[in-house]
Amino acid sequence: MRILVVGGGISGITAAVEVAEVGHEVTLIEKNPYLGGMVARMNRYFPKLCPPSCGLEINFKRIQRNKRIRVYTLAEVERISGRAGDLEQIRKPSQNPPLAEKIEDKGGFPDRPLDVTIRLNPRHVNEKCTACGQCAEACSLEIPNELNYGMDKIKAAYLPHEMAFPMRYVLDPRILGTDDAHRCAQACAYQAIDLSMQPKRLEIQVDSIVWATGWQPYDATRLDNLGFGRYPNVITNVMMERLAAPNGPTGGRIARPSDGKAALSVAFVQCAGSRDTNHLPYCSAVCCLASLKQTTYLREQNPDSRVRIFYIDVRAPGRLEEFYAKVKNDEKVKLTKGKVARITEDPATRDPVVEAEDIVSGERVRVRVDLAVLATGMAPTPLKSQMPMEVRCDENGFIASDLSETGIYPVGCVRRPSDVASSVREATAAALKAIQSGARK
Amino acid sequence: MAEAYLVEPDLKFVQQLMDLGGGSLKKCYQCATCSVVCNSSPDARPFPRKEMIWAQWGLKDRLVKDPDVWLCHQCNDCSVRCPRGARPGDVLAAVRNYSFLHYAFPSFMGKAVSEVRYLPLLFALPILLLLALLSLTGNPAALGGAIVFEELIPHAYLDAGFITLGLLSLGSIAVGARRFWKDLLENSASHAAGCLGDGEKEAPRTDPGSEGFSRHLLSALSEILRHSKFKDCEANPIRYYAHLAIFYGFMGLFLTTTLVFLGIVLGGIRPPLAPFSAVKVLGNLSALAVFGGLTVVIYQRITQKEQIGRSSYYDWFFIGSLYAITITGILTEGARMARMAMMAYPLYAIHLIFVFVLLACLPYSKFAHLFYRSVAMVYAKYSGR
Repeated sequence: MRILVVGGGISGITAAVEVAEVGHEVTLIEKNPYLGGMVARMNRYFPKLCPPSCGLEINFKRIQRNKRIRVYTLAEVERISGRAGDLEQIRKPSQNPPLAEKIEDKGGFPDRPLDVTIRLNPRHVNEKCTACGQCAEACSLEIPNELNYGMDKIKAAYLPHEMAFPMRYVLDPRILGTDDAHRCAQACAYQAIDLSMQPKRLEIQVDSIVWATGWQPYDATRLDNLGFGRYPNVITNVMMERLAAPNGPTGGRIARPSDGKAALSVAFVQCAGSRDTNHLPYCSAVCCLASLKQTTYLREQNPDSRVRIFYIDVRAPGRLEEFYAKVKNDEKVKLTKGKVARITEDPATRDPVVEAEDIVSGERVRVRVDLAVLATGMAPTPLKSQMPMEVRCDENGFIASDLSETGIYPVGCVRRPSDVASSVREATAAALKAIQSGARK
Repeated sequence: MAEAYLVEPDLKFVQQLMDLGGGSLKKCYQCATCSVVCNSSPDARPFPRKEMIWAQWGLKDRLVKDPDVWLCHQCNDCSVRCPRGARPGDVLAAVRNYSFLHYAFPSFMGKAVSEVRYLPLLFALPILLLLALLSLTGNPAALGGAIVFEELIPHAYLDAGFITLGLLSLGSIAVGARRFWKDLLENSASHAAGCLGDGEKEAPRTDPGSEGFSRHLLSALSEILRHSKFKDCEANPIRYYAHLAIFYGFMGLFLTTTLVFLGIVLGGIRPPLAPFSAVKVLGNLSALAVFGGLTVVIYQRITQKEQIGRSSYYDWFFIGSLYAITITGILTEGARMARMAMMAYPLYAIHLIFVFVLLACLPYSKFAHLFYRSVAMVYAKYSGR
């Protein structure tokens, strides 16, 4: 039996490893040049506040040890189809059926495998790469570092990050045709750079698919009253993770983007674009704890730092309540009930000034800080047209269809905003379902 | 917590507010976006977040005695930014509608203006009065030659009728405004601190006396005349010009009417005035200003519900009757100049009926916002808000 896992974040990796360790063949594809997804970009993550290397490295080891897992990075699904039209027959649902209604089961699971076309984008670096870094040394072209949300620049021949899997350099497409490209190729002592690499298509047959394409941070530039994109010292929570990460743009020093000064007073703006009918109408589930966690980064880094968290409600479910209580008890941390609805900037100092009504005292407050962090929420990755059948999304863009009849199992943040722990649990469940679905054939 | 506060929700009041245009009030989850984005709201105890929870909890007393409800100029920046679609701007408008009813004197008139089903009654009285007058003053069918409205109904009758009506209405709104003023003063002394967002107790205010009142009134009037509060609106900047045109157009028409009345009584003038006399030009320009402003306002209310706010019966009653007066007035003059007697006389009659209704309902309709808002603005000046 062969199973395809789409998306190499924590959900996809987990599903792939679980399936393979049961003894089935797995193809894991990831559109980025590295595995690990959003977790790889964290400084620390819940529930145990480990650095991402902790959980990811164990999983990478499990992947490496297991001959049954084939990993393709820079890979995307182009097309999925069933044979002899059976997929289409089963799964073209009636016109806009209500969400609660299941797709009518016209004959159960497809008894033939699914044909999948995968596009492999060229890395221009082959498996001979030893990650020695000579190519990057030779390269002068710099590009914005997307891993760090553009907060710094990297060479166009780069290693995504120092614990990247696969541990191999990448050439950015922008380098092609420049002198830099040839300099990189010449600098490589292992003939690992192949400038002639072309996109390839891979046709595979699988019995079922785990769909784990994850989430993306909500576009904070759309929050026009909060000044993101206009004021350099207004950043988002995902950027904060990178600022605090030892492999981030500042080496882990939480500094203001405008002048590199250490951020001593920081305001967190909760529900920035979440629970908002003008933006994401739902609660993104993780931002409260993310801000509380990031508060600890600041407090550990500098004992003089002060943090103010503006919230509507603090949502710290289950045992996370204890973490909330711990942070709240820090006397340098102040929680204020009231949403920040406006951020302005002092042009002289570039200090953001956040404005909210403190509901408990009933006063409007303007707080000048070194850094304002928008706790932006999780938006679903848009579903492209790879699916052979109509996939219904809920009103927020998360997959709402029950796709079990099709042999496709969506998992993790493509279904709903969730934290790592629940994504991992769900991925294990999806692995079992995918195996069962194949076993029925 | 300063002291225990027993909330006694008036559920009937909540429902009333929802019926009066605040249907979205229960969606509010108290994030206070509205209080921050409101440019009319002061830093101390800003609105409208606290009004929203009072509305949800049915705290009628607090709302009708709250000056902030009237400091709101309904620009709807809050409603546009509200993350829940709770539309605080609409809810405050509903509270104001409720206040028209609450402070109405006599109260049955307040009721009559509050619901569309009483509308025929409101029109029945002026229609009957007009018919009675016509039967007294002669035979309209005998009218001929140049159109002279004096020949339909003598101005003396109209002047006597409308002046009486105007005085009655002014007396009535004076009672309502005075009650409101007393409530404002009394309320300032009784605020409890706590989660309701009243913050610290405000220092109790005593009546500033007539001299103090006039001083603050002048300051408030200057703000009203400059329309400066309307300029703060971000969601709908055009409304500033529209309201300005309606306001000054209306004042112009009021002045025209007064001048013509004085002319008739003191100077023995016999209307119609010459088309290019100063008073006539003032009247015509004013009518056009009101017409233009109202057209913009109505167009926006119909096409841009989200930005402008949902319109309640109170809105339509006031805008509608004012629009009808303006249009019938302009058409009457046009028909007279075109010598279309068959059009001019009936239009004139309809015009008079609408004038009667607007004037009679002044203290209970949205027209009264002119008075209640002015009182609240005086109070705000006085209390340093």
